[in-house]
Amino acid sequence: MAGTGKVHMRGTEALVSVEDLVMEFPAGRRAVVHAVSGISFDILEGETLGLVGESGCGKSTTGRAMMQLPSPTAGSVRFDGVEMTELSKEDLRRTRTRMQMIFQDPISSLNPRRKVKDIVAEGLSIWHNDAGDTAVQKVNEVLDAVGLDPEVVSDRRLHQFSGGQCQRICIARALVLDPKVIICDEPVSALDVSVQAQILNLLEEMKERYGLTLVFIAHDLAVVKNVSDRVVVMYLGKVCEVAGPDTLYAHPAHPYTDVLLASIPEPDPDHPVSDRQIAGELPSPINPPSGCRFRTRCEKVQDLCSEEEPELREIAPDHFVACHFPNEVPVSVNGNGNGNGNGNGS
Amino acid sequence: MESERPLLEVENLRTYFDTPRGILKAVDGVSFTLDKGETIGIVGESGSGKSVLVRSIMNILTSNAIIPDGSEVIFDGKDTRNLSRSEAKHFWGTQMAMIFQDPMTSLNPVKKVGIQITESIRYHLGASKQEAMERALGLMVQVGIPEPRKRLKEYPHQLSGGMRQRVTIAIALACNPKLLIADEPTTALDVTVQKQILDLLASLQEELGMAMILITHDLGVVAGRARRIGVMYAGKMVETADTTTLFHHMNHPYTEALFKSIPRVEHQSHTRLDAISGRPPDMVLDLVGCRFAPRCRYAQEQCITEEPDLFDTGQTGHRQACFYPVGSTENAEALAANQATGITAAGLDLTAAAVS
Repeated sequence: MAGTGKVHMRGTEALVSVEDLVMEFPAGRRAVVHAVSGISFDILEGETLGLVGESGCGKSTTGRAMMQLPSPTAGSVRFDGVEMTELSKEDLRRTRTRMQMIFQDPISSLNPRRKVKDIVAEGLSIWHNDAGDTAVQKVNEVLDAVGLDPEVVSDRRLHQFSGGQCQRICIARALVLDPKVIICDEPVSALDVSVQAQILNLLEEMKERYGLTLVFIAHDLAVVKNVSDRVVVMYLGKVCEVAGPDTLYAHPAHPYTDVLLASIPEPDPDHPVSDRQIAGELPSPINPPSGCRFRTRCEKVQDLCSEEEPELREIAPDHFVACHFPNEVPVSVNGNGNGNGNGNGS
Repeated sequence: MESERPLLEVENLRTYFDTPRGILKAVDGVSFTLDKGETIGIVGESGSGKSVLVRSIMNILTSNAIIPDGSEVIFDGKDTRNLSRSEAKHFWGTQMAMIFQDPMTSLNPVKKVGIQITESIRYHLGASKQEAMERALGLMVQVGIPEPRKRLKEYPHQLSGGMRQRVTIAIALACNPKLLIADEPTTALDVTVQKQILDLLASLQEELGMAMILITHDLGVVAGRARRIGVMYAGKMVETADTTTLFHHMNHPYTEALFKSIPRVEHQSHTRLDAISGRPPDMVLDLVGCRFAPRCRYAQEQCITEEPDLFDTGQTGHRQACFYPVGSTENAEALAANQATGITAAGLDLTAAAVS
């Protein structure tokens, strides 16, 4: 299978680089689910990378494969100079302390029978750092950092907290081992908009305070745009488009990005509801379409799209798209000027 | 238009629950009306009482619910609360129907989709199995399910989330209800599917002339869909208006705060969001004063001691419950006074408010 291209990779300076990642799962009767089919991206230190796409596009699988949960079928994940896929079990365990994860449903990812202080301190106790005052101090420090009063919450259990507070506890738990990278898998999808804003702000603060590098996975482009420095748009296990968030919004080049943007509900009654709607359903990842995987739902589909898989190519500085017939963007690769215009691209 | 009676009149509705911790006032005096074929959006956070409100309208509350005297829900001239169980059974589905947030839990996992759709058609309309299946097929086409004949014989787990929600819509529409209540119908779905479902609801509503109550926590969802919007906070309606009026002249600080917490694609990335600090009050307690005051940037002495009622703003159909409405000179003075001291009358630290 043709790769999706690697022109957007930024070489050795990256903290994490994922290359040709393939994730397949057996589905019985010799069928195979092609969850992720050869994607590549890299993340610089201190950057927030947004992974955006619909349910079933492989964005969560990608996040988990980075953590080796489970290890990918093929491809490489390099983290801080170490090849994660080749590590021994023990080395992997050690490396994972520096790469943490936050999940979508904060309530089901925490143990309801344990006290908050024990949940947060668990990482420390596994690494035998839980003796003495320093551990208690560390737990109190991270709880305080996420906006919970340690004195009040330490001895409480989950049922006494709201969804937003549970997500704060998850963030505290992820922070306690001083990780370099946190992978946030739809951290705000289960929350109200008002609480969502609190958590998004908190993630930005924590990034600043602890010098974190974040991978932010979500299906809502408005949310991803708010927190990311670079956005990767995924569809059915492939990369469609890679660009800075402002460029992506101003000049979406891939037809799928167009649809994602048009789907965001606008809190403005004068803004007419877009008549653009994604057609039909996501095809089965067991038997994905040939050529470009988005072609079955694309408005611009041509014969070429089923015959040949589009590779990622640079259409403007730091703006990459995998489409045979992308939308025009005002700045070409050879031109100069940055693509960060504010106009409306569509 | 004037002479016609509204389809639904809710007057001073209160719904309390008898809990071990005391009486929980989930809905505490809500009034609104809904005309035939109209859509009203009800917006508020989790726990604001919006779901209990529509469950009270539908009369599907749990047994520990108490509705004090003086609460009225008049649907098509009849008080729904006086219906007996057997009357109610004929009422649900043919008059009012509801779709819920999570289509996986509202469908029966061990029954085929076709059986679930035909159940109410056979019960209410007395159709034969054959006729009911034909009608179900028509409904599946209407809600945009591809290969409907094949899908009728499948189980819910074989469908995607969006398809399942389409099935629950088909079930709700089976007996041509006059009012469709959609309780967070798209919260569990992707944005792309959310758009498909909202577009579908809008087109079906136009086609069938139903009235609709659309409940959501996201002002963005109702902006383009509802003619009128009611904003709920802690069991009370705090602002109601035509959709355009509401967005152009937001009066209540809570409405403003909800609006500002939405991340907008037009904004530069890394724009700090104006989150609402704190959380809604515990509704078991006796609440004095404005319920939003502890989280409000504009709160003054009066807000803590006195509860504001909904009053007309002067614009038709626009009512709000705040002593210091956003955009007024009183509001600007209140904010200036609070900023000068760094703290609101209710004790909200304005310097820290920016942090969380």
